[in-house]
Amino acid sequence: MTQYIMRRLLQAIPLLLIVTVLIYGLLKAVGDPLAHLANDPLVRAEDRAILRRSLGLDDPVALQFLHWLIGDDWHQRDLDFDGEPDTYGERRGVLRGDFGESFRFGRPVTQVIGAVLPNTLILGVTAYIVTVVLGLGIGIFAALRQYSFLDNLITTISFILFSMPIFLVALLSVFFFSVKFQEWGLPSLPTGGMYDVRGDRSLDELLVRLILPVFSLAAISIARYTRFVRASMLEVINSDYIRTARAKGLSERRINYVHGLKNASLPVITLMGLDIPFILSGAVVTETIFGWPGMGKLFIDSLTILDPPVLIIFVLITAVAVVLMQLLTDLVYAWLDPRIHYN
Amino acid sequence: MRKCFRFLSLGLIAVLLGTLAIGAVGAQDETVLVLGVDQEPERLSPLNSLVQGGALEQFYARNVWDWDTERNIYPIMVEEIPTIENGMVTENEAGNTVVTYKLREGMRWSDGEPITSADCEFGHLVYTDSSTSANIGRADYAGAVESFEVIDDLTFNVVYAQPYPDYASNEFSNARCRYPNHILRPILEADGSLDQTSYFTAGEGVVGYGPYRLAEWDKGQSITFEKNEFWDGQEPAIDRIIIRYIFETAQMRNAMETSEIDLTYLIADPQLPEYEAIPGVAVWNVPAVLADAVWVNTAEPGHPALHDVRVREAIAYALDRPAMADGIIGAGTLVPLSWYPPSLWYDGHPYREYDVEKANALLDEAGWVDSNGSGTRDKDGVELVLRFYTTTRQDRMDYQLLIQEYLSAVGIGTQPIPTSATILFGNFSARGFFAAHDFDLALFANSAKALSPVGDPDTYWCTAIGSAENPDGFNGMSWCNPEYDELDAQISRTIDPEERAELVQRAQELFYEGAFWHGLHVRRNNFAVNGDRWDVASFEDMGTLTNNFFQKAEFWQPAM
Repeated sequence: MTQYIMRRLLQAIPLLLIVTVLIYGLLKAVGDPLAHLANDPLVRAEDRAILRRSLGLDDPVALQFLHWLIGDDWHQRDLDFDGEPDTYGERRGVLRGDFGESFRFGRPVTQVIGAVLPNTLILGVTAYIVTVVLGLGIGIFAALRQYSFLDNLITTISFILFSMPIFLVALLSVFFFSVKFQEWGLPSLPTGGMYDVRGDRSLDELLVRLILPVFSLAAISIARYTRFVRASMLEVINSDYIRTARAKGLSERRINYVHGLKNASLPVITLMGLDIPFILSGAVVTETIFGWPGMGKLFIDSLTILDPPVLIIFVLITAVAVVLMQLLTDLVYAWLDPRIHYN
Repeated sequence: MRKCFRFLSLGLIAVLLGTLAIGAVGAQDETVLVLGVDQEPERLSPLNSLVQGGALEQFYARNVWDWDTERNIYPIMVEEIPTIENGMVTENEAGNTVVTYKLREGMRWSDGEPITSADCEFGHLVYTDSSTSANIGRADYAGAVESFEVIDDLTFNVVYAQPYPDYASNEFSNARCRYPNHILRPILEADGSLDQTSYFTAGEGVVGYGPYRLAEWDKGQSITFEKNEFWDGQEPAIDRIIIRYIFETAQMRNAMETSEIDLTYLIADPQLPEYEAIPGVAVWNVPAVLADAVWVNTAEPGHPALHDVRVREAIAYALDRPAMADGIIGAGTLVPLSWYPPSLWYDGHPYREYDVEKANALLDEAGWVDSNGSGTRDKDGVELVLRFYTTTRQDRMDYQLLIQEYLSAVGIGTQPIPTSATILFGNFSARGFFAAHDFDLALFANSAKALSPVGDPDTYWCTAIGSAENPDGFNGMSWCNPEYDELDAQISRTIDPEERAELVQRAQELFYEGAFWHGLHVRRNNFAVNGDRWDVASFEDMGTLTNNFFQKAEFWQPAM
């Protein structure tokens, strides 16, 4: 098993390198990171030129990538434009633990991402837990009552939610639970933000402000999980070994939750495993609508203004998380199903 | 299972009801105003390419003087506005302008340190020496100002490099007294640059001279300003002003309706009716400095038809610009006559009225006719179909489609291409469509110096045409008229107002003849305030420039 894990981790290195090269190349192709300064009357052309050179944007793309990877403290640039290289770079490169500096914020990327990652985890993990608990619960509930009124109702609601874009769910939830509830004199929820800017940033405030974004994120995902769990569970509880278990007189609870659920959970584990990495990448639409300062909002802002150092680390974090979660999912398979061996 | 599910459902309902109850708005003891803003500055001054970053400075760092909505100048940090009449604007031996500044006595930074000439001298250093920071919006300062002379603790001279009529109105070439010498000089001496200091990147320890001081910057959420105890001007009636970031337009409106915010600004014109519909909310606007226009590429690799001024003129005649502005922006929207600010338009200023017949005649005369019955004009086998770029801003894309219709009516085909600003405005090396001349028509806004007596556009001189040798040149239209460049340079050093007005008029005539810029609408800045909580009249005096909206924040009052 250890050998298997080591082999998978080693295989991930070239994969991550390829991902990095592709993303770096694509980001270089999509535009000029200093374009927002181009028609800004405050910024002189000579200052733009110095900024461009000091950021290394004048270098050939391959050299820029090399600098990003191993640093540029061995490379001199001509920052005073006298024709003679005069100043060494200060970056040490990703391989030496320097993940670069955001063009936009002028701070290390690790600081920029570190400032928003906890916010994304608060929102993402909460939504994920709600999704998994309710998705599993409702899915099993529907499967065990196949074609009943409640099953049909759950199926209908699932299809409706599953078909709705998340921005619509988010804006509708704000419209009703914030705007209309207040208009009707009911206790209303805030429209967005992590805390009440007039308040004291207590846990209560955070919990209140989590409700609508978590609802928006979870509603669609619960619908997806429900459909998936229901289908998987139905396939298992109609199989021969369940019938045998029933014939041997095992209780329904034991049949459903020990023998049924364990075997039905294999495909669900895949779904759960693939969803976890995307918690880290944040929820672009939800975070933007609810003013939640997380990774998704950072990503979209960085993309809008083109901040390559942030974007590339963002993609790299997601890629690493995908690789690790796929490995973990495979290991969980082996734990759940004794027929699976990796030795 | 059933019990478990019931327990779970009841638990969730209890949590929901509990949190709803907690969410009830509590009472407040102090006067707090929440301002909704849709873009967060990346960093605080010095460089800030976002309007909002500059605008927020009005709360905590005022200029030496400013302009009211009637475009009258008034002193803030100086005893009086320097003029020729009061002897504070003179000429040196070289005939160049020398402006004497006399700072008011007793002014203090928000940390209690006195404000002196040394602070303004430090500003001069930063604005003239690029090595102090690459992230400074220096504008014209370094080119315009030759030297800085400290006379005493409160008096200094700014010596310009030429006769300089723009000394008062060009806010970027007068004295820079916003940066505290006692804090920033030690940082500069220690680090060699201001680029990395958390003073700017994280807003740590920021001080200024304004009615408020920066109390906290919670990135991505809010900025809190509290009363500045060392401010010696009008005492603000509001204890705290909180900037809350709301990035989604519908959410901004929702927050206004639920009273989570009290004030917002830069509301898009199509959204104004939605704000007007909120009970108790007052909406108003002031003219802005940006003007959206169609920019025409006059040279290679633009479409060959556009090399002919008659075709460029025909495009202007083919567009009913007032009707478009009324339809897209709102009734009564001003259509700009030139890229110079409205204060410099003159009686009889030429303008190409909507005239389809004239457009058709000009195109025929230029030899562009529909010879193959395709529906678009052509010449020598080349179809008159133009690549038409703009950014993804909704009103611009709406304009694109209308313009496509209007031009189609005179046989000009267009291919509308909305694209990201990073691609459209990239520099020549990055193959930005505009700077690299890789477009036929482009639609975007340009900011003129609204108060300047000399106009603006040296960005569009012949020497500003982008090329491999001049990668940061932003004259994408490739329009080049040496006479215009000379006139513009002359204007910028002509002190006599009448003489200058004649030169400006001639420059605008040349500009008009070039027919490469067709103004669409002058923007306006829209504001909305919760009239139930605040005295609307005290808010209406907002600034006219892009960075002085909140110049009268200390006069804002709660509703009686």
